[in-house]
Amino acid sequence: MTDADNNTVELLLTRPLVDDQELVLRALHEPFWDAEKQRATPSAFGNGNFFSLSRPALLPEAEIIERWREDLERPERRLEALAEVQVSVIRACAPPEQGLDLRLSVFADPTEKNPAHAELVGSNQAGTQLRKITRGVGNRILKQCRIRIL
Amino acid sequence: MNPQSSGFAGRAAEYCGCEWMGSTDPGWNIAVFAESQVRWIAAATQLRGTASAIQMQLVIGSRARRSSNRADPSDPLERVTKTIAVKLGAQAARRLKRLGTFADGWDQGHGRALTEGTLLGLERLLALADFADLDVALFLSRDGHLLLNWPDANGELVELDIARDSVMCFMASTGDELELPIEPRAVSDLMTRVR
Repeated sequence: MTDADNNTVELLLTRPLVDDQELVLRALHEPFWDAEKQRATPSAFGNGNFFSLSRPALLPEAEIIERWREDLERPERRLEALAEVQVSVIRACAPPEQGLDLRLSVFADPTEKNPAHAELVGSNQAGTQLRKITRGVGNRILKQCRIRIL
Repeated sequence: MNPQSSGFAGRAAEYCGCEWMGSTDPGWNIAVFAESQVRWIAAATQLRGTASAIQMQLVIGSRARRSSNRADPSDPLERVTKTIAVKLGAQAARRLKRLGTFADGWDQGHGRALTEGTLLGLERLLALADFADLDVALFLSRDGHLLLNWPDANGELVELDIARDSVMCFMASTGDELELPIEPRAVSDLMTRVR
């Protein structure tokens, strides 16, 4: 890893954390969501380092959905559902006692388009290196979510 | 340039090898068709001694392009869609076609388009495994791999992440992720474990 990479990782992992009690939302759309089967893949929350979330505590849910539609929808791709879960529940899906050396953190990550944007990030327990969120952990998170069809 | 053929009758005629019958041009009959074939062979023969490989390709390629109006059996997406319709049903075939429309960058810059390798892997897997009694759904991973998942007998999710020569199998019941080659023995063992 270069110094620049290390600096980027440090910047990513030192952003303000979202409170454990907050609810966060994740947009579910193709190809992570199958509307006909009403089923998602664990890859909606796993098999990667970063996952986009939004915070209804900062912006009404209807506005968040409106921004998702502007950002994610295409004529052939509808936003079809959302997953709702509490931050503490996400964090509990990779408990330190399992020895995974995976820490799940939800960081505030406001953007111009979505001031309520947040990011779920996998890191080592020390919070110094990024770690892939496994499909198993992604599936655990998915099972804890309340899925709502839009 | 030969006239384009269109419509079911035209395509049927082309498939039968009667390309001249597939034309919609009233002036296009078997004599004109035969003459065009002779001209094409003469042009190719004449070029053989003098033309560069690129020039030959232009002559040969014009025929290949004309033939591309019909469904191309060498297009892996077309081919696998047909296979999946038989093995997994029409919904899966529709879904595969849709997953094939996602371009590079689909997940806010992170997602890759469906890869040819994953289609070839799925084709091999479908030839080896029986999914008939499983409620299979299809997804696309950020790596451009096809994901097949279904609930096992206890309702726990099983998911296959398909690469060209191997599958990564995730079993929610145990949390295990296993990588296996797409080979008869390994696939047979896998399918007995994941029902």
